[in-house]
Amino acid sequence: MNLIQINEDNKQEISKKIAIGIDLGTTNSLVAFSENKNPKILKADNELEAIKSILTLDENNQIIVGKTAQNLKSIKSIKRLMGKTNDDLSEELKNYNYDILKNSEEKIIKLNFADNITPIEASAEILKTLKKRAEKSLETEINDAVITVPAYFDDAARNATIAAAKIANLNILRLINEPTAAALAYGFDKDLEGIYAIYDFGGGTFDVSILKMHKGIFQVIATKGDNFLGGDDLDIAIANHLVSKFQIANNIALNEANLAKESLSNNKIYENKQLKITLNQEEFHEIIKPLINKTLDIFATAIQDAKINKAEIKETILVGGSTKISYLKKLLAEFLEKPALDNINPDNVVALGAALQAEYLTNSTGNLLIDIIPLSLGIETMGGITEKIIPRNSAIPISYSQKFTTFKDNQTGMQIHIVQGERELSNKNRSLGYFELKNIPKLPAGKAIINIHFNIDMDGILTVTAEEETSNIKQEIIVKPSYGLDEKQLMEILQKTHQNAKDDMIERLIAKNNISLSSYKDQIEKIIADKDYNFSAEEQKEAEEFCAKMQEEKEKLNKSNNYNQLEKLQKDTKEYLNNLCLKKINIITSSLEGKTIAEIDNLFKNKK
Amino acid sequence: MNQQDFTCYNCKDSNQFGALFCSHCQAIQPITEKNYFKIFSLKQSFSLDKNKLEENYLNLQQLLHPDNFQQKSAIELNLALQHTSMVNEAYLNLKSDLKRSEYLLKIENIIVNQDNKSSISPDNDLLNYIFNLRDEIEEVENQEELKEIKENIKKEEIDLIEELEQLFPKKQYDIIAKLTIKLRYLEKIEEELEIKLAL
Repeated sequence: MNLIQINEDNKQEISKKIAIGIDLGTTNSLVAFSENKNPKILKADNELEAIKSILTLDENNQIIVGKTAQNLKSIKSIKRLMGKTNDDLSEELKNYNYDILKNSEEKIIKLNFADNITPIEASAEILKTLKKRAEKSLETEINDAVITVPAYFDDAARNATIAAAKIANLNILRLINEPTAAALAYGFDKDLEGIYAIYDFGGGTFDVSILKMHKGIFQVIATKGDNFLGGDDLDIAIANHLVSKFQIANNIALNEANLAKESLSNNKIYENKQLKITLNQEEFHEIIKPLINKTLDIFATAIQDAKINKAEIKETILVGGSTKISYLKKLLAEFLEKPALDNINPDNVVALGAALQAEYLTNSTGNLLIDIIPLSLGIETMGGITEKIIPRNSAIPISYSQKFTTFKDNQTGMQIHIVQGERELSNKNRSLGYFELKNIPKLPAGKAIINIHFNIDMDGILTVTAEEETSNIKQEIIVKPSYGLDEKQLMEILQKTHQNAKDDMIERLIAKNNISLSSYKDQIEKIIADKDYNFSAEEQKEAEEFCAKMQEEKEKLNKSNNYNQLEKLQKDTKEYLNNLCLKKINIITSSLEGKTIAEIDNLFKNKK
Repeated sequence: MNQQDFTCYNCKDSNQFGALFCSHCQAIQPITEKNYFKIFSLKQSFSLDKNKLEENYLNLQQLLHPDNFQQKSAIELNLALQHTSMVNEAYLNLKSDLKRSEYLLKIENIIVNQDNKSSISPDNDLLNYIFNLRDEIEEVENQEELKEIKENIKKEEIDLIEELEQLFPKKQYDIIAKLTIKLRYLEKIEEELEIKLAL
């Protein structure tokens, strides 16, 4: 037993220090690692830096990532489906892009690929490939990662990304916004001061962020974007033109459109003699101009949101493959009245920034990143009107509490609909989920007071807790987005994935969970034993029993090699510890609570 | 031990009330200050030095941001999260002129920002005014006119804020409450106009 303990501790030492940065892109994905503030894209000598975000089924029905082959089935641009339901998809997307399992009765999107996997599982395959590449390159096991998401990703899409990482057996240290990551990559080693803009036009999404840089602090002040505006949409626009002008099939047109775009970004004319297609640069510019203008309009609103003038922007940094189009650079320079910066390869800059943040979170590097939520959070009030609880562009983490009352006598339940978006009518915003409070004590209308706390964490994920004031009934829910995988389904997928995994991976998983469990147990025992906080004998006994039961369960699961249940036990124990921490904090602060602002004021005056 | 002092949960050393960190073991301490102005060491008033707010905000972030506590104990990380959430909430409410006014009114027990529990309701003149303004916007078709309306609303907001700056020192809370409600309606309409202009 002792021997294993030592071994485990060593592992913890190593895994603590190494964390990678991942740019999980619509078209390309990259993995990077930073040491001494020097981030590098990870790859083997003979490999390209970017891995194509494409999944292909080989002859043996195995999924391979990053390669296409004729006659083999493949899927791409999976990222656009993250956090979406079948109801969310536009007809255009269905027509062109995806092998989405049509006529599916379920809300959850399934792909007409492999065993009809979900986009989350497909993303997990890409993450697994990136993880493997990093492990090979760094010659060590990797558990922790910072993963980037478009700034404009909503709560559902962020949760979907977290689920994908879980399936890939990666612990997310932090989700960071892509433009913010890009800013980190540009600014970490320079003493940048002032206002900078990041213009991020990728394969599937467009984001623009405005940041204030000040003494090593990166403060995001506004972000705007469009999750359905990217290089893919330029392709679709060109394909539409080709279909109507040259009468070619949709799927051929899309491929041609992509080739034409790449060629015409710097050449005068594109020709495919076989298909009798020609497209010149003027036509190309005409086709893409409306879409580029759309990005500039979004840029203008972001500037407005930031409450600054265009002239105050010191530099604009270009990110994403679509920014390589010279015509785009020209229009953007006209808009800004100066050229934008592209001295770091716009394809790599996001991954490099993610690696820097990963380094910061594992070994403090002195830079600080203050990020914001892109969309307002609100609740539906009577008449279907949205009441904003936390406005867009608020710095995270953030909390907000609001009191609600019952409107009927003896009302015992209350449903709260949480939405994300800027529209006044709730049904025009994205529904994040319904939150139901039960067991409200029977009281006359307006007498039961329910205090609801909204918390947005560092990843931009919302948690809601509620308590009824007179009875102290407490409920917590993590808002589970209505799009899809619930905890049970996720467990099933994890089980399925790990069934095929090698024994050593299972061993590692078990070891990892054992380490965490011992650490949690130590912390719980330390807190509960602390005489100063007067935990009641009952509470102490409960905690002791919890630990004893946990220990017993742990040993049982270790014997049966049940890593899935062990993972669950680890999570439950972590939650228990967390609640205990909060309790302790409450005990510490309770001596100050119940005092009005005036009283605390007096306390302060007395001090002076 | 002074009554207002407290012991650090970590090292049990005595600390001054309000200390963010234990003077002995440097462990981050629980939140004691909930007044938005006090959090930033600012005078409680509607007129605000926004540069000072910004500067103190960034200083606090640098001290309290959870990223700096990733390698610390669960309690410290939790406390850092609570602190930063509180600082961000306070910053959000002070930075906005509307929210700052609402907060100052709340301290005077005047609630103007919750429909069902507001102590003061908008009067008929204001409702008529808003109703007409919305009507006008409905009828307008072209973007230029919408932009003009938006500019006018913006100007009116600036005037309102100036008025509030005059009224707060005089503690004329009845009028302040009315103007604050008006400001809230105008900001809402302005935002709707922005969405309309962006579509």
